Amino acid sequence: MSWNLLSEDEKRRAEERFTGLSIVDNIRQQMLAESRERRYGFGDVYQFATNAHIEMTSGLQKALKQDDKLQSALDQLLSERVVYQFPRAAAASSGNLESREGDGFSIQIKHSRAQSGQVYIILKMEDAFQQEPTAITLKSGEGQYLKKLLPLSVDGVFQFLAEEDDEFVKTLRDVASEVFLNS
Amino acid sequence: MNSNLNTASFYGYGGVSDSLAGIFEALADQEGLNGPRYRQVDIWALLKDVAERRFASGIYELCHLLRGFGILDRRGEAVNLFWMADPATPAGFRSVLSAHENSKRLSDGFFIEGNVLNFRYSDNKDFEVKTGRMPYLAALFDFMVNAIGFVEIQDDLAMLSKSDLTHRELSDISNGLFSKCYAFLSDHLPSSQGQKKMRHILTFLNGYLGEGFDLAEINDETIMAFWEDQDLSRGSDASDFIRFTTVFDDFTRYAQAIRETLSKRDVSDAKVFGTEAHEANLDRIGGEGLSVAEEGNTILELLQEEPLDQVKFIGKKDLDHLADILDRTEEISRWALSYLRSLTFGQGQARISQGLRNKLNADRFQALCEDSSKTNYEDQLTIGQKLSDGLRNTQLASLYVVNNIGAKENSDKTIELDFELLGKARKAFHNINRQGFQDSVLDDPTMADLFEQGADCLDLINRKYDRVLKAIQQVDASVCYDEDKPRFATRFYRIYGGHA
Repeated sequence: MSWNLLSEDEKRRAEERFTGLSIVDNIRQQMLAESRERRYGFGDVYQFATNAHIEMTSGLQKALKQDDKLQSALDQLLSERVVYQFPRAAAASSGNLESREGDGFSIQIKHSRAQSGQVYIILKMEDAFQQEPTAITLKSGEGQYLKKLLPLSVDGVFQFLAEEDDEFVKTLRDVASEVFLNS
Repeated sequence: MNSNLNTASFYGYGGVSDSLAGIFEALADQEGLNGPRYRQVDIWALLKDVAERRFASGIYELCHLLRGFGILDRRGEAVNLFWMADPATPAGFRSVLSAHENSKRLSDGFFIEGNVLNFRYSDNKDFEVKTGRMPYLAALFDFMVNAIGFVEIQDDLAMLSKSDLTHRELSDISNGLFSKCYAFLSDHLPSSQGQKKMRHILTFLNGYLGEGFDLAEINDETIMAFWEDQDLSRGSDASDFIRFTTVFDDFTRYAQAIRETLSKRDVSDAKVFGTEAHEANLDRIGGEGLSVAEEGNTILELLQEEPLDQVKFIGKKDLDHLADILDRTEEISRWALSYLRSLTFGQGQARISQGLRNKLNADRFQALCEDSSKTNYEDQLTIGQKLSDGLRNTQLASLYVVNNIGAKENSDKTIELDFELLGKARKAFHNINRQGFQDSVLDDPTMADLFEQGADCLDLINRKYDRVLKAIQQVDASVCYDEDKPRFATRFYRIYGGHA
C-alpha cells in the first residue's frame, strides 16, 4: 500500500477520513483523561432550573461565570419556568430588605423571639395561584445561585427557620438579589 | 482546565477547541436521576458525525421531533420532553410517548403509533421518528443547544411548534440550524487541520523512507523517529505532535485511511464519503454504508442497543478501551511496540503535563521525566490478558444462561457444554455482578436468544482483540521497556524542560 497509488480523488477522500478519525481520537482522549474536571452544559442548567431538588454546585457556578451562552440559557429558563419571579427591588432601596412584595406573593423576614440569631422566612401566597411553589431560588448581585426547598404550606403560608448569618438569608435581604419561586 | 464551554482557547494539538471538546465532555458527564443521562453509544456516534460534519440529516430528523415534542408538551416546550426521558434511552422515550398517547393535542397530522411518532404535513409530506432513534437525537439537541445557545434557537423552536407548519418551512429551519452548527464548527474545528497534519506526516515519511515508500516499510522505529524529530519551537506545525499518544494515533489513522480508501475501489460506497453520507446515520446499525473502521465498533454498538442493552455484557471501562482499538486492530497489531509505548508513556506524559499545571518543582519534574509511568509493558500485557479473559468468561456465562434455559424448557436451542466447560461456565456466571447476570434470568425463557446473540458478539470482539493481544505478547516487554524508559525521559525533558 502506498500513498502514491492513490488517485487525486482518493487522496482527498483519505485526507477527509484521516481528519475525521483524528478529531474523534483527540476529543475522545480529552473525554477519557483521568485528570480532567467535570464539565457542565445546558443539560445541567436545565435540571437546576426545572427540578426543585437539584442544587447549584460550585462547578456549575464557575461554568456559568465563564460561559455567556450558558448564563443566558439559565436566565431564560428561570424567567419562563418559575411559578413566580419577584420584581427587582426599587433602585432607590438600599441596605437590607426585611420584606419583598410581589403580585400575589410576599416574603417577610422576622426575628425569632425564642432563638436569638435565627429568623423566620415567611412566604405568603394569595389564593389566585393554582400552582404552589416547591422551592425558592435566589440569584445574588454577583451571580451566585442559592436554592431552598419550601416546607408544605398552611393556608397559603410557607414558613421556615434559618440562621440570620446564613448566606441564604443574607442574599434574600440584599437589594441586588433576584428571587424566583420554582414549581 | 477551565470548566466552561465557550472559551476560544485551543489545545496544542489536533486543532480541536477546548469548547468543542468540552461539549462532548459535558454530555458524557451529565447525570440524570438514574445515572448517566446519555448512552456511550449515542455520544460516540454523535462525535463521529460531528467530526466528519455529517449531521445535516440528523438535524432534519431532530426538527420533526422538536415539532412533535413541542406539540405534546402542555406548555409547548419541546425541551421538557427531551429531559423527561431519563435516561435518554429508547425505553425512556417509549415512556414519554406512552404518557402522551391519549393526548388531546394529537391529530390526523400528528399521531403516535406504537414506538413511532408520525407526521403528515399540509403539503402532503409524511415523516416518522422511531423511539430507537430518539436517544441519538436527544444528544444531538443537547450538542446543538450548547454550540449555538438556547436563547439563540428560541425563534426556531417557536416556528417549529406552529400548527400549520409546512414541510418546506421545516426544511428551511433545519437548514438554518445546520448552518449555525456548521459556523460554530468552522470556528472550533478548522477543516484544514487534518489535511495539514496528514501532509506533515507524509513529508516526514518521504524524507525518512524515500519517495514512493510503501506503508509496510513504516515500523515502530519510524514512528518513534517521527516523534523525536519534531521541531518544538513555537508556531511550528509539529505542535500537533507533542504527545506520543497523538503521534501513534495519527500514524494508525493515516494507515487506516489509506487502507480503507484502497479497499473501497471495488465497492460502491458513496454513502460514507459522498454528499448523501447522512443516510449512513439512519442505517448506522446493520446499514449498507458502514466503513471498514465502523464495522469493528458496530459489534460494540450492537451490545449497547436494544434488546442486548438489557444485559451489561461489557463494563464501561472495557467498552471505552475496546471502542478505541477495535476499528484499527490491523494497524495496532502491526505496530505493537508503539501501542505499548502509547499506553505506557502516554499515561506518563499526561502525568508530566498535569504536574506542570500544578507547578511541580525542578527536582520533582526531573524525577517524573525519568520515571513517568505507573505501569510498564509487562503490566500492559497483564491488563490485556485480563480483558481477554473477562470477555471469554462473559461469553461462557452467557452460554451457561442459554444452556440452563434450554434444559429447563426442553428446547432445541440447548447448547451442548461438556461437564468441565459447564462447571467453568457456571462459575463464570456467578462471578459476574453486572446488570443482567442475576439468577432470575435462568428462569426467563425470553432471555435465551438475547444471551445467545450476546455470546456471538463477545466471540467476535474477543477474536478481534486477541489479534492485538497476540501481537503485543510478541514484544520482548521487559527488554524493550528498559531500553525505552531513558529514551522517553530524554524526550520529555526536551519537550517540557523549559516549563519546569
